[in-house]
Amino acid sequence: MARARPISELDLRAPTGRNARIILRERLADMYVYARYVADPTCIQELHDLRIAVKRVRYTLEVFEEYLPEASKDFAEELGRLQDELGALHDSEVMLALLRLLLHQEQGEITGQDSSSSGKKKALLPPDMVKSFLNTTHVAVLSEKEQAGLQSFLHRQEQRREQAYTSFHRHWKKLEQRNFRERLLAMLESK
Amino acid sequence: MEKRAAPICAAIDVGSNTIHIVVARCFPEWLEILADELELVRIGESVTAIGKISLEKSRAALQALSKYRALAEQHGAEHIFVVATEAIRQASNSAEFIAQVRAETGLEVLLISGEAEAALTFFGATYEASAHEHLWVMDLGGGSLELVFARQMQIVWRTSVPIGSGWLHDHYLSGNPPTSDERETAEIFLQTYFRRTRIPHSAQALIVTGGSANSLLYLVQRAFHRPMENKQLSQEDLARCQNLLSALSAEDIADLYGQPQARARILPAGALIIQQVIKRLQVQEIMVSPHGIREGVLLAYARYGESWLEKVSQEEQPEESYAQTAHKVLLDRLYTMLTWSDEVLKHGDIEAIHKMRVASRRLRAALDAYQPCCDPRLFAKVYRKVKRTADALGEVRDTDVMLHYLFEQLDSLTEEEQEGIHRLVEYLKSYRQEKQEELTVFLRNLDGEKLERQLKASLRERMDR
Repeated sequence: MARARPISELDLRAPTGRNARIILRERLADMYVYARYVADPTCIQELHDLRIAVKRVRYTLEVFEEYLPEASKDFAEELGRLQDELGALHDSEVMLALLRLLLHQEQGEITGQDSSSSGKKKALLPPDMVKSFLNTTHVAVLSEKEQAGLQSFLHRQEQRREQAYTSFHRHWKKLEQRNFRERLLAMLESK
Repeated sequence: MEKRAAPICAAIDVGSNTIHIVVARCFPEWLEILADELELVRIGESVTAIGKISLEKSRAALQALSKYRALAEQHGAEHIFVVATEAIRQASNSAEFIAQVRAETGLEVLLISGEAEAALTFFGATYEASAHEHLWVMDLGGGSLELVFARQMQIVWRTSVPIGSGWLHDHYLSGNPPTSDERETAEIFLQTYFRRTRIPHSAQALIVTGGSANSLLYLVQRAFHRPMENKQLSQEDLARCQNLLSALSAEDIADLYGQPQARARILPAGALIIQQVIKRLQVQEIMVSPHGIREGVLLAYARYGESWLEKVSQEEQPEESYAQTAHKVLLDRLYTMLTWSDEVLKHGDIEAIHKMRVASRRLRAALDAYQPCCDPRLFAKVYRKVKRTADALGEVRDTDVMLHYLFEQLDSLTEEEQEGIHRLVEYLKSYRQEKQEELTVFLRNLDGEKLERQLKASLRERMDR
């Protein structure tokens, strides 16, 4: 998780609640930059970035909780659920990358990278993990039965990934229908 | 107020260790105490063990409350106030417990906040004390301690620490008497914890209230033949108490010095906490007050009438500025993260790593939120270090999560899949071992005090600009 984008126009001597509202509006705008990728399950990197952005709004709500209306807790909880769904999606991606690494599948996946529509490449697996797995002779010593077992488990994981994406997408749509963003902004306007 | 017009009321405090009642004729500035009784129910024991109030503790509490209701009525109490504190706040079944009390005794339990608890305790503990320019008041309970700083008898700062005598006993000092190893570990834990607790004020006088402080005073009076009117305890008195408490079992202490046995069990923990707080606050001795939250409730009622709890809860400071809260939040979160470091190094267990990682994330979130309050150059250094800490923890934690997921799946998989997964688990475990070793080296080299200095300097330099 990279450092959050700094925000200017904050007055250090102003009440905490006032600055909290400015920061939250900015973080929310950052989060909705990724809204256009939500309908495309192949945008792995962007959905991962969305997860980080959701987490950032939620954490900001929690940091400033005592300076915001009581309802801020409900919004933080809702974002927590969204974050969990995106987290499950990410965990599936990581497990898939790990299985592919172990099964030494396509050359491009050996580094545990994902492709993204924005052209950025970000490792799904920590580089040390990839190195550690490749430095050993693990792949060579997998028995046929083990390989077949892992291959079958990989298919299960692909299904798990589909389910995780579907749950997240359905939830996102519901939030849109319930005007989540507008309600959060309205909460920030209230005392 | 005329004596005749002053109402008789009762206040019952349902705490982690005791259920305690005071019945008194209530005046705004003083109380004529008619009854003062307590029972050591130790509700906190079951909350620590299972996260809720056990059936057995619940029964004992209901029995005590019924008895105290009758006692209050015997004295003609017009009102019976029941307040519940930390143990009940922490219990997952607190709402159920409160409903049960209402149904079986007709008493309404008020679950008060840590802030209201601190304010009420301050009223109670100080109402007989002479005025001080600057004063500390500590209420040492079974599940937590509340520390208040007052200027000209007005509270200006307060904090609640989730460490109490019952808690310390259950986690660190369960031997009877505690072994020297147990005492040493508990002492290191407290020293580390209090060193990282922000204490922004200073005063020479410290009033301590609560069962442990009063029992220690009684022990000193009985064991070392101190006059009963002497209410002070010095560091030396506490050290002598510790010697006694580490040489004799709780049963012996109870027999020889007239202490309830359940209290004698948790007394070593109470003495150790008081000793460490005295050191941290740099005071020479403490004054023990027999009064506390119950007397505070009665005084608050006499002063404010029916809206007493509202008034006490409303005594809030004006909203702090962004820069002020930056200082408070960032340092608190840094201390919390560092406190877990010892636990990770000592045991390296999954839970401690998870807790420290969560704390590191919370700190990073606060750093993101308060970045404008910091000097950019120093901030970058702190941020880098915290990020590295989070990454080192994350590599171990993420592997734990993967392993946990794979273990969960195993039963539902085919035999072939299980074989493959066993191999994957083997690799992940070996990778985790490598990362755990790296994490240990990293945390051993993590200079928490330097990080604290850098963060403070970063905040200071930005403010000075």
